[in-house]
Amino acid sequence: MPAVNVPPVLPSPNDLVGTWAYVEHGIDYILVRDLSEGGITSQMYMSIYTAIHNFCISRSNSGNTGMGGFNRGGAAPSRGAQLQGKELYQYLKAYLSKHLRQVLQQIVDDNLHDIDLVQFYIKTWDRYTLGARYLNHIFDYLNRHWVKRERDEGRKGVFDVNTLCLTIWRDDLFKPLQEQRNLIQAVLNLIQRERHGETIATVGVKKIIQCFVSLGLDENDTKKVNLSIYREYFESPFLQTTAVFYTEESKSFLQTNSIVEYMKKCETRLAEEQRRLTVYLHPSSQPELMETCRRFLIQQHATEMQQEFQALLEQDRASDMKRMFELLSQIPEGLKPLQEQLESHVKRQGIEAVVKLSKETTSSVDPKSYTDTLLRVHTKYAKLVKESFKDHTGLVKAFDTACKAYINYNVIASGAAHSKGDSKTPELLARYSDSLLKKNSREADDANADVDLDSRLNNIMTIFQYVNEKDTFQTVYTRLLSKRLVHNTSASDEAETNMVSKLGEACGVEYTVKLNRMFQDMSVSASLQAEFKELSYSSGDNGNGRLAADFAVQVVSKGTWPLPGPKSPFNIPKDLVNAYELYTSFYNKKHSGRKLSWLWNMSKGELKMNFAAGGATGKMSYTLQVSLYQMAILLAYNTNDCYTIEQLREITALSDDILLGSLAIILKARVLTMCGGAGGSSSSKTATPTVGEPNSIYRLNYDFKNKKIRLNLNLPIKSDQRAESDEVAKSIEDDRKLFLQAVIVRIMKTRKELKHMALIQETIEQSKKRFMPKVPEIKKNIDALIEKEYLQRGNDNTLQYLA
Amino acid sequence: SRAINGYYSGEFRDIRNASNSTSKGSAARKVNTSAIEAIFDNYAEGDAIGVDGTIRYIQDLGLQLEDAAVLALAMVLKSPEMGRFDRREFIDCWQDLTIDSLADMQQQAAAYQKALTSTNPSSDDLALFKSVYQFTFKYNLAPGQRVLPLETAVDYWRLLLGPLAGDHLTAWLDFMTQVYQKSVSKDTWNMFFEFVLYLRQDPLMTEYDPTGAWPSVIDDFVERMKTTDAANTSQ
Repeated sequence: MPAVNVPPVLPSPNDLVGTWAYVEHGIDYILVRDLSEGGITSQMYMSIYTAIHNFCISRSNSGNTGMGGFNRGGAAPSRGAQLQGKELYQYLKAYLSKHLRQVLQQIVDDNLHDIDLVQFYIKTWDRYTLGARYLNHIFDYLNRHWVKRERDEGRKGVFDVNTLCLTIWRDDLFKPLQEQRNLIQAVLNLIQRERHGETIATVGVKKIIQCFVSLGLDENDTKKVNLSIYREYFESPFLQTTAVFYTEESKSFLQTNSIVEYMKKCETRLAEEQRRLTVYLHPSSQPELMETCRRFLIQQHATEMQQEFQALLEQDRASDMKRMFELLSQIPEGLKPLQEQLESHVKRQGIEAVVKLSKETTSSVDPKSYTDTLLRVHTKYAKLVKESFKDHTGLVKAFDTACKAYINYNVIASGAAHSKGDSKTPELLARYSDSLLKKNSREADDANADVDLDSRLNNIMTIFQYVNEKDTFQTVYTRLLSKRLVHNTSASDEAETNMVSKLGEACGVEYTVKLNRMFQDMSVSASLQAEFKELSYSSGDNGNGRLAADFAVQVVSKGTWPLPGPKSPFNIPKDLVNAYELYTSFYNKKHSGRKLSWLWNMSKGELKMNFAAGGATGKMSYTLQVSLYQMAILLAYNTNDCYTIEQLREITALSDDILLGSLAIILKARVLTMCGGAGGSSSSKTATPTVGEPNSIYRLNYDFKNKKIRLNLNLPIKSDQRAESDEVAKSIEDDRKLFLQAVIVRIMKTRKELKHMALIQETIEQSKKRFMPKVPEIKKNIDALIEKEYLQRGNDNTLQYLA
Repeated sequence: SRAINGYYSGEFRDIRNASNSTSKGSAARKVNTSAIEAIFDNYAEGDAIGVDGTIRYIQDLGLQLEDAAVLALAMVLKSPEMGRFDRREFIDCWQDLTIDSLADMQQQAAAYQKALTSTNPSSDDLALFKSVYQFTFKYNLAPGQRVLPLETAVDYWRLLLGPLAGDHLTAWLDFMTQVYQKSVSKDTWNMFFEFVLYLRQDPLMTEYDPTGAWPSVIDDFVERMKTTDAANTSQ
């Protein structure tokens, strides 16, 4: 241990000058002397501590009133003893001040700049702050008594020794240095160099920034963090530099690069600044720094980005769009233009896809291709919205609006543009679901369809949710379902219930009440049939009850099922009268109050044809699947080989459109052949007579031949199909009228009096889940209700409810 | 309906007074009831004036049968049906109006006629007009009916609204007879009067709002007018 480090003999407690000289010698080791001299030893440390302690207690013990304390007037403590220390404190303060001024002078003498300045500053600061902590311990007694007393009494400018060190650094080094050498600029230059890609000693920067933070002192509570120095000297010029830097950088970058490249740059820059915050900035700078970056990196170039969005959409550049979304979502209103562009783009894509489809299809539209086309556009952009835009509310809304638009209105759905008619989408969607749910349908058999039925039904539901006229879908769907059930062409009960429950989930149970009731009817009807079958066999003994043929009846309730009734009179063929009567009496016995209406037009049967010649084996037996009307015609040929049109008309009692339609199919299959007609003379030899011509004759074809032994003649008649779509339209219209009037009455019943416009709005609001009513439609129903005296007009465009 | 009676007899009695300014003193004037009865008996058979009597009375009042004032009289005197006035109502109503001479009755009738044929009616005139117009619908309704046959409605529109509606009336009647072709409901009837008043503010219907509180039939009419206008100007 070097001799210099040996502490001199402790000074006398009453000797201020001696004590300070003793103490100063130690402090020199701590703060000033070269560390190679070994720094302060623990022995020295203890001695200085003791010297200070001795000094502080000495005078109070001796009762000497010579210096210090008693000048303080009435503030004298009650213990009657003065706490010593003021002189030592002043000496220390002067010492520190002098030391730091020397440091400053050295910086000036050495002409330190920039990085050298920073490095020197950090080095000095490290030594100084470490020393300050030592001093704080050495002067512990002073801190605990004299300083504490002074502060308790509210004296300004007295601090514990550590804080004293910091204030002196701040006032005698930091502030003058900033004026003479601009330390802050040196730090900012370092950061700029890092921004330009250089590697800098971030640890140093972090230290220096911590120094700024430490120098912010709350004079009243030294333990409190005070960022005033950091804010004033560092943060504010830092933010300014940042703003200037990014303004210039983005400008020059964009002169040579595309906006897409720029967005990548932005992303990197923002990440860098974020990292800078964690590495060396004070965390409190986070909001303002990021705000500055957002402003100058994003906001300043938001318009350019937004203008590029359309191109990105067209090129399907999902990751670039994602980047743009993430940047623009950071600034207020940044996404608005994106929403608008997305909406019109998706709408256009949808509309164009349907135009393309309509050009490819020559005849009527295939419901499957149509639905698939709608779905493709939806799927594509739903993915974009989810993956690139994170299902952001505004963009989801724009996407939904677009889907609603192109799904309901496109070249196929509404023929001509702005046509007043309803959309065809709900009908086509219902037809597609029919093709999926039908037995042996092409769709179900589709070999390459590894997509299972359920997900296809889900696809329908996806499109369905956008359909405005859900009531049209309901009507068509109900009709198609009724056909599947009545004709037993439904592929699976499970799939049927599955679809109905999906519809229920989407629209509420009310929407599917009828559909569910239809399923119930079917099962009731089946047990009824079983009962009848048992009865008809057991009662067969007496001859009357025995049935000539298998005879099955389905009974369903008229209100639930949209089944068309027969439009023509009809004579039941005598072979069937027995069965008809048997069933009628059976049913009436069970349900006396109910009325059975027979839907002849929907009935069908099978006939065996045993007469025809069939190749080498001689006679062949063919089975014909026929409608009841065709059956009535054909059964007549059990009695005779040939009839005139007039005779057939009389036998069947059918009206001409049905008779001739049924006949045409039989003739086409060549089960009957036609000859003669219109008195023979007028018709030329070459032209075949028209079906139904007066006096035309229909003869049984004994030479009938066909490769198949089962023939289906029960084909739809053209006029029926047209009538049906009219019927659907009318039924929808009637339903809407009832629905709207019910809604209006319900609203008015609760509101009693309402402005016309408010009523219209409310009616639309309450109807739109079912369909979008047009204002004239609503007005017509208001008129009707006024006429029916449910409502009357009041003053000032109001309407009043009449109880 | 008492309020309405009061309204009729109260508000409209002054029509005559307004012109010759005999002022409010008339209310205190003694009305000679037997004079009114004498006038009534002159036209009546028993307790009612019938079709013939009505024709004579109308003529004696200086009116033509197809004058609008005839409907005003029918309303004021509470005529139960076309061509009939009952004694009680006849006497009570004239008495209320403090009129007991044929000359004064003529004057009152002339005042009605003037009010109902003005091309620039005052607000009092319009109030009378509206009552008479609405009365006309009920007055012509066949028992048990709620709508007026189109021909009847057309006749009365012509009779009542010519001066007020001008060319618009012709267009309206064309529309009703050629396009609408249905009987006229009370709502349509009443609202058409409002529409005529509206047209005085906006004759070209530029401000017309088809989603507003007008009945659809008027919407349809306006749309037709606008499309034919557009077709005409584009030619």
